[in-house]
Amino acid sequence: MFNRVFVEEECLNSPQVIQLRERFNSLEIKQIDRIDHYFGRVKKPYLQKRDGLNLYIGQKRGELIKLAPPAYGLSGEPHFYYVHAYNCLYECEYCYLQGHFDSPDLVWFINHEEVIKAMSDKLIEFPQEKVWFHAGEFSDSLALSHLTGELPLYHDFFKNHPQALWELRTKSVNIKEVLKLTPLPNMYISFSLSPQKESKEIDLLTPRTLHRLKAMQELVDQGFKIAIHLDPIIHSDDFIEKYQELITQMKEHFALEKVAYLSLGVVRFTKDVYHQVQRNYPDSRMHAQEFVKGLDGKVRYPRPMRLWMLQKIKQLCLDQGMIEGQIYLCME
Amino acid sequence: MNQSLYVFAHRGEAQSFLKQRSFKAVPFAFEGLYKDSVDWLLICGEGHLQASQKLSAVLAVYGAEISRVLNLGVCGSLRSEIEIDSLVEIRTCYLENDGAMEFKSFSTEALTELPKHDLITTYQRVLKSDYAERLENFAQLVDREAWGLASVCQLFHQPFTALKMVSDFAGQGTEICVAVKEKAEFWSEQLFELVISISTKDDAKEFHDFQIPSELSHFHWTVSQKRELKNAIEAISRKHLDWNFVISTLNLSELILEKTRPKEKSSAILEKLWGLINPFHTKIHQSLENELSVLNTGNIKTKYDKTLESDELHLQAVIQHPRHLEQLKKSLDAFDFTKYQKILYGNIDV
Repeated sequence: MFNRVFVEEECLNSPQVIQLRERFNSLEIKQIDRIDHYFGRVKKPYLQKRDGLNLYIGQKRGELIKLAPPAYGLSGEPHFYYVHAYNCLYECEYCYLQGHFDSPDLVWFINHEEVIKAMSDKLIEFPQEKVWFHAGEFSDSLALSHLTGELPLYHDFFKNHPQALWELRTKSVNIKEVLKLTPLPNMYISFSLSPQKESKEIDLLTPRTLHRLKAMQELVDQGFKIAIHLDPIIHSDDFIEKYQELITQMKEHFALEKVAYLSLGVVRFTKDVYHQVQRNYPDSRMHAQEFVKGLDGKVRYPRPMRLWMLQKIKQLCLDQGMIEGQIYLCME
Repeated sequence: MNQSLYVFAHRGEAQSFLKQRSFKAVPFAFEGLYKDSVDWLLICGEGHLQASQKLSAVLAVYGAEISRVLNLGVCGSLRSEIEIDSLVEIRTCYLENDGAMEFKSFSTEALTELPKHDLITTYQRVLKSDYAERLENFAQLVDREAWGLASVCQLFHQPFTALKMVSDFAGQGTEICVAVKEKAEFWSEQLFELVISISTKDDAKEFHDFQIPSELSHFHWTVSQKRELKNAIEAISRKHLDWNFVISTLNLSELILEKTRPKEKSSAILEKLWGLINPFHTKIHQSLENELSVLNTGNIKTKYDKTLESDELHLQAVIQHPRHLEQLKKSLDAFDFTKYQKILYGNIDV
């Protein structure tokens, strides 16, 4: 799984490292002083994650929770994301992590108590409001949760702070650790979904869409709240039919009123990420898309096309019985 | 023209090339540049600064004749699992510069089926184990030149490949120069055999270079149009558009009879091709132009944001006579901005 594991000295006896040693006894673990002395110090090509992936374990320094950009989640409430890891095992061709860290190596931060303290401080700052905390901005929040083991800590915090809303964003079907927890009214497990064919072609190494739907079904059956991100939507001549089929499949697995919220977003890139996508996946059908480069450097569909696509998919959801209040447009 | 430039740090590493091929010294600003009827060879000396200086000079003068740069030579191993005397291909080059890590790295162009490893170019020779241990956090192999050569190649837009023979374990105190003297001939021979095997494969690759499709070959294509045509054909292929359908929509038999300049005919073909590749884009612009047609009369010009991110519409009118003003009023009355705006918001039939 990992080529090497680099661990900061004070984390050598952490439960995560002990568990890794037990599970993978041939794993080479190397002590380092600080992650940032190694990770990101040199530009490591993204696709080296296929055969040369390293893992770093240490303390998150600096900002532990960050304000999310506008249109990140349901409007009206402040949104923050917390950073418990960098990078991901999956290989989605559009992923912005390709251009973000200059290294595909995984980083696990294990000072969760400090992150939770920062969340508490934020709640004091917004005493009258619901405050969202999202996990999964720079990594999948569940894919390795059986190894990272932080979910119970956060669960305790959110159990005792009902004004704080917790979102776990994922493409994984690794829900074992979630199922060990009791459902909370302020806990949401959100899945990114794409039509089966898209997912197979473009979301490399991720669980298939039907498997994700089954995981969602199981969570709903166990009383957990779920949410959906139909993001990124990628255009093809038959994309409406594909999404029609996906929404039908969703409906076959759980009642759509059980979906706490659904976000819609079309594929978009910063200039640097798009350059990386061209380099990493030169044959991707992504390069046959009608993208334009805006004055802000973003590469995306022209605005009329984006809005047309979003309206079409939104209408499909409404036609299947979802209501306006459940749906929001992401980053528009 | 498909000439390679082989770059070696030391003459010993290049000896098989110099013996078995008819490289002749090229009079130049410094010694160490050779050429035969096919390729070039440079002895760049040790260290990334010297190597990059010499390669820069050569590419500045002869770059147009060179189509790729191959760094050949020995390197040290930083990991015990990499065997001595094995041939490897370098995947990514990093640089350690007098104790500090350089952020920039360079990935190479893969040419062989050899094992691929990362390499760190160092400021000085790696003689001590603690130095080697620090370096091996970043790469499996170490040399003194590759990063410098790769950086120059990027500057000159030259494909760069590094093929190395693993000579020793770095940091074990052995002076590599002694080993080079003893084993240089063997290593050089191995590198020479490897390069011969690559050259054979190159011939096949050249066969696939872009050719203008026969249906379009009797039109005149400038270099930039040819490049654009290549991009358009690649996009058509990625979209899985049927080539016969594409050709049928171009109306080539009519186009060839038109009394326009040859370059304009090729431009018209390119425009139609991009229209097929980007139908939505074309449709949006057609719809906008259609709405704006009531304004675009003789004395009014309209301009909208081509990125379509803004609703702004710029009008420019020239009024030289009362009838121009009347015309402007009529046109503005006839123009439906809401309808125009709706197109920008995606209300469009596709």
